[in-house]
Amino acid sequence: MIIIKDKIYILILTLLFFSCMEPNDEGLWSYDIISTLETNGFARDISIQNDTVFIAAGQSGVQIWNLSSNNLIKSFYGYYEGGAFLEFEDISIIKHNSKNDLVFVSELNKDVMIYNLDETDSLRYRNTIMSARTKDYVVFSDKFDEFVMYTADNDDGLKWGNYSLDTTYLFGIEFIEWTPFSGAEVFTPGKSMGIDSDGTSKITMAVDQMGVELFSIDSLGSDLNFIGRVNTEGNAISTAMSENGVFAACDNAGAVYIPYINFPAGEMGYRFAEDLTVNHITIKDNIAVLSLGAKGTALYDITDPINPIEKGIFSVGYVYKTKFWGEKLLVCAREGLRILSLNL
Amino acid sequence: MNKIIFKLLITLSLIFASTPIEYTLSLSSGYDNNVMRFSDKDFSYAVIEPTILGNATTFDSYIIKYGLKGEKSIYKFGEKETILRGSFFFSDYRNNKEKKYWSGGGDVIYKWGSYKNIKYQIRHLNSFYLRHYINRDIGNDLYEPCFFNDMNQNISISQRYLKNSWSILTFGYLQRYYDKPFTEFDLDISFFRAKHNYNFKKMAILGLQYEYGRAVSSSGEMPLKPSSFDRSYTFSEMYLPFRIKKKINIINEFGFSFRNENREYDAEDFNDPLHSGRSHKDYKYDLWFKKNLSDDLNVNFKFRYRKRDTFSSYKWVSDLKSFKQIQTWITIEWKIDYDNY
Repeated sequence: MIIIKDKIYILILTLLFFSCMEPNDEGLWSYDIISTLETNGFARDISIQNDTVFIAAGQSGVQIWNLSSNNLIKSFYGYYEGGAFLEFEDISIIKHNSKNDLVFVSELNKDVMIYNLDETDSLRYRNTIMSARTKDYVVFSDKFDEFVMYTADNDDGLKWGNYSLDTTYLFGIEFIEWTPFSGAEVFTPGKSMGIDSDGTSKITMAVDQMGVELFSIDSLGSDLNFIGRVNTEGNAISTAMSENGVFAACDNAGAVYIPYINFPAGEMGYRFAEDLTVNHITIKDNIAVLSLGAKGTALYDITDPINPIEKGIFSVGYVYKTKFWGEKLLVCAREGLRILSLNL
Repeated sequence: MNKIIFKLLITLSLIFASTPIEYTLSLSSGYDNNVMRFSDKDFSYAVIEPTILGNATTFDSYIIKYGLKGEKSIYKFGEKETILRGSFFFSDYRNNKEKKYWSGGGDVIYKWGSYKNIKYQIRHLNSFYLRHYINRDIGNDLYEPCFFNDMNQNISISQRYLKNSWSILTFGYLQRYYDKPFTEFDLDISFFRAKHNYNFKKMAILGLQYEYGRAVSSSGEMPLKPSSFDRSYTFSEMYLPFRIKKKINIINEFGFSFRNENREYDAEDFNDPLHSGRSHKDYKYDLWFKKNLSDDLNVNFKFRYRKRDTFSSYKWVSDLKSFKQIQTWITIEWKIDYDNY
């Protein structure tokens, strides 16, 4: 009898302690929403300077936030010019240049406005550069009172220029402008949509139906050399450069990775996220963040960029763009600017 | 889990006790007219988008089910008795490549009289195929098969009150975990069940059962994963079985039952229209007959009609999640006593 009881006890204990199931792990990445900066208008683009973020907040104009404290530092619905207050319509692109305390701002499909952000956090309009239908741009500055800008101009191709500060006094009034002292317009058979550069030797441009173009430069502000163009499925609308190649967002044809060595011969790249509509790509280390509009964002492990691995689609709002702030991901969305922590 | 069931069946064979082991072998043949629980909308959509059928070419299927049950009394003294039970079933939907699964479990029962017992029960359902769904974790149009596993553990206590009636109270915990890539639907379900039975002159048994439970989804909790939405729900179920154990013509036993489950999802997220504000009523009507062919051989006929009405503020969700299903079964059972004494 004692033997039987022992066996029963062992059996019951076995059933009780070993019978719970463990959930399966899909190997997907996850995230925590740390905070959402309520921008009111759509957060279309950002530029980060340490803990400060400059937000192109659509019809809410330009906003400056502190990312550590999540506090709004300053909000600009417009600017003064010639004594008149001019209201922003719908700000879509913003870049900050800390060397010269400049903020570059563009309305949807318009040219580039330059503002000086002074010590009192006031936005002072300087002048407008480039031309209408500017879709994207990158700015670099090695020296004080100078910068170089490369723009994807939808109807003109790749426009670039070296700019310097030009101060003149007229009738006792100080006029401050940024004027080009060199630059050019590079024709492209496609329609320029997006641009990226490493700021040292390469520039890539998304040229809509024609694919992606690669240019080389000897140094910032030097003449551009066209290396090649690679056709893509769908419409190339944005590019992101990595060490060995360029990632391009191809609208409803997903995304593509094109190694730099493919450009001279125009060899096709490696597609991924084929069934997604991708508007923008951000790269950091082995992470590719795809902006999907209403679907949110998609994360890919690009340790092997030729074979990116899906790590999940995240419904974080209507997403225009993303950027990394250290290890955190900033998501420009219609719902505001979201700060996410990724768990890889 | 299959190791546990295997061990249980082995243990049944090895435990020392001067009682026989009762085995029941069963073979069932069945038919399911809506294997993947398609709604009318799904049926229409499958014509233009056959990928929703997965690898199947038909909506219906014939089914073969093999079963083995074992029971052994390991301790008996007067009315007090300890019984071990184990079971294993394998179901094969012949016209559906994905729907082949096994289920099984074990019981430990301590009895101290008629209808007086306490029972620990464990049941496992392994890789039960629902249908192909779009894997929205990583894309917009990639259909993948959706399987889940159930692990149901419960403890019940039965007590007789009057000469002809007894009640059973059950507390249970069901883990419903999905296979990749649908783990976001994982649920931990706690439930309580109360059943009262009345025996009419040992000729018929009428039961009334009520069950209430809560399914908790951790999918909507931080950290958020792809397709993270709170899919928690509350459910209640009413079950009314009636069984007649009187020989009528060639039938030795027959019965029918009605089961109605009401489920209400917690979700109120407008980003999740599929679950937001959704509820359903699931009706199951069962009818069965049993014929004893000999002392140890019997045949069962079973018929089930199932209907689920889904309610949602989104009409397309109501249309998508409502379905009707008919199942028929014929089962032959062969009881074997093995007594090595």
